[in-house]
Amino acid sequence: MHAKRPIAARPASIAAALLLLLAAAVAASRAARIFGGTDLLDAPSERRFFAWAYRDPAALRALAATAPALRFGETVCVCDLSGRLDPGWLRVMATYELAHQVVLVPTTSAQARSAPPCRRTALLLRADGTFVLERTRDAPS
Amino acid sequence: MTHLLRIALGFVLCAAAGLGLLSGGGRVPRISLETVARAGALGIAVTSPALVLLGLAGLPVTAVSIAAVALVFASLSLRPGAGDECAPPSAPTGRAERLSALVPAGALLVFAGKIVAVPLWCWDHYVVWGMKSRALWTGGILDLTLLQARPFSMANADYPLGLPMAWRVLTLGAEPVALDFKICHVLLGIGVVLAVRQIVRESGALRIWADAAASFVAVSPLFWDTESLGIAEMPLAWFALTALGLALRLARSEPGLGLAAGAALGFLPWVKKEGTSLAVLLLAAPVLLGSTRGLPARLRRARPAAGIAAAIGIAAVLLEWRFLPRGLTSFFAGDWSARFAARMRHPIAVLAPAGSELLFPAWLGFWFFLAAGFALAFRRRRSEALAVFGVVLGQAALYLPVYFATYLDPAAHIRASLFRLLAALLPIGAVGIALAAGAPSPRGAPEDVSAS
Repeated sequence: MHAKRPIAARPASIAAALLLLLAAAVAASRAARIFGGTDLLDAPSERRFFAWAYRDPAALRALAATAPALRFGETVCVCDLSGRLDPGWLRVMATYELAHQVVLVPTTSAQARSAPPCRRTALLLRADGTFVLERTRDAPS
Repeated sequence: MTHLLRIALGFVLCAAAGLGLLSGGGRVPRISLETVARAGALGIAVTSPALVLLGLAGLPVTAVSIAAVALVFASLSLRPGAGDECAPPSAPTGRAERLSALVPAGALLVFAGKIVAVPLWCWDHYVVWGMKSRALWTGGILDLTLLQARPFSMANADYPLGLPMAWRVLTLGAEPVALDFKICHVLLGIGVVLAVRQIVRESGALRIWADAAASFVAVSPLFWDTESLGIAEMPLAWFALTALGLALRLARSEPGLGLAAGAALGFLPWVKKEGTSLAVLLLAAPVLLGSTRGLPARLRRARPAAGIAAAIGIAAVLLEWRFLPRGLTSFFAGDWSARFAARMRHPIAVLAPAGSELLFPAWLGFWFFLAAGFALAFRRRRSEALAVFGVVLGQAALYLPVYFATYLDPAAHIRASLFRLLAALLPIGAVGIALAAGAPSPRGAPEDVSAS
C-alpha cells in the first residue's frame, strides 16, 4: 500500500519526468550519431574554434612532419622567421602537433634570444613554408 | 588498460584521503557511488596542493610520495572521535527510481562515447595545461622555473597549478599522455553528475529530481561541447559542486564538515582564477541565505571552513606571485580604466553579443528552466534554492565587467569565452532548479515519495 503524496509532489514529479524524457531523447539522438559515424563536433564552441584553428592546413602539415625528429618531453622553441603567421595561433597549433614536447613560441626576436630553451632546440619556419630543426650540441638528450 | 588501472588506483588513493576528511568530522559517511566520487574530489583537492608544497620544499614527488600524502589524509579517519556516529541509512529505492537512474547513466555513456570518438586536438587548452603538467615535474623533482621563461607566458603560465598537479596525482606521477587526459575527462564528467545527484538527494528533494537534474547536466554543453571541456571548465564544475554540497550540509547542521568544506573551497583558486570568487560565493550563499533562521549558529559553523579555505586559497596566490614573471598578458593590460569608462557609455552595445550566446539551442532551454526555478523558489521561499541561484547569478555577474575592461575586442572576447564560462555554472544552476521544484517545504514535513 503506497502512502499518499501531497498534491504539490505530483506536478513536481511530472516536471522531473519530462526533464528526464528530454535528457533521454537528447542522449539517444547523440548515441545514434556516434554509432552512425556522423560529424560529432557541432557544439557552438567547437564550430567556432575549428574555423580559427584550421585556417592554414599547409603550415600544420609542415609542423606535424617535424614531430618524428623531436625527443619525447623535449622543450622546443618554434620561431616563424617568415613573419607571416600569428604567434598566438602558431603557439596553440604547435602544442597540438607536438603534443609530446614542451612548445615555446616567442612573439619577438628579442624573446627568442632571451629564452634559454630557444638556444638549444628550435624549429625555424622559413619563407618557403618548411620547418628546419636546429639543435645546439649541449641540447639535453 | 594500464592507463585505466593506474588512474583507477590514483583515484582510489584520493578517495581514501577524502574519506579521511569526511569521516574525520565525527560521522562515517554512508558508502555509495556519490560518496566515493565526493571523497575522490576532496582527496584530489588536498593531495594536489600538498604535493606542490612538498615539491617546493625539495622533497621528491613520486608515486610513493603521492600514496604517502593520500594515506596521511586517509588516517584522519582514525582520529579519536572520528566515526563515532554513522550516517542514517537511505530509504529503499523503488522501481521507478531505479529506472530513472538509468537516464543519467545512459547520458554518461554517450558522453564517454564522444570523448572516445573525437580526436584530442580539439582540446587546445588541455594541451596548454597538459604542457604544464609534463614540464613542471621531471624525475621526481618539481621545477617551476620554466614558468619564468618569457615565451612560456604565451602558454598561460599564470594559470593555477592545481589541475596540472591533479593529473599527475591521478596518473601516480607518470607524464600524462592523450589517453590519460581522455580517461580523466570521463572521470571528471562522472564526478559532476554524481555530485549533482548527491546534493539534490541530500536536500531531501524528490528522488526523481536528483536523476532529472543529473541527466540534464550530462547532456548539457559542459559535456557535449569538448571545447568547454578543454579549458578546465569541467574540473572547476566538479570541485565547485563538491564544495557546494559540503557547504550546504555545513550550513544545515554538520559542524564536523568544516575541514572538508574548507579544503574543497580552498582548492578552487588552484583550479582556475575565477575559482576564488566562486569559493567566496559558495560559502557565503548557503551560510547567509541558506535558511531564514539561525544565522549566528551558521556563521559559527562556517568560521573554521572559511579559515581553512582562505589558507589554501592564499597559498595558490602566493605561489603565483613567487614563481611567475611580472607583466604577463592580462585582460586588464594597458589603460583598462579608460576602456571601462568608454564602454560603460554604451553598455547594451557591449553586452549585446552576450544575449546571442544565451540563445543557442545547445542550452536545451536551460535559461528558461533557471528563470522558472528562481520564480518558484522565490514564491515557495526555498532558501537553499535561492542561495544556489545566488551563486550562479553572482558569479555570472562578476564575469560581465571583465568584458568592459578587456584589451580584446569585447564582442570577440564574449564569443570566445562566455558560452563555456556559463556552461561551467550550469550544473550548479541545475541543482538550484531541482531544489526549487523538488525539495520539501521548509514549513512542513518532507514530502512522502514512497509512491514515486
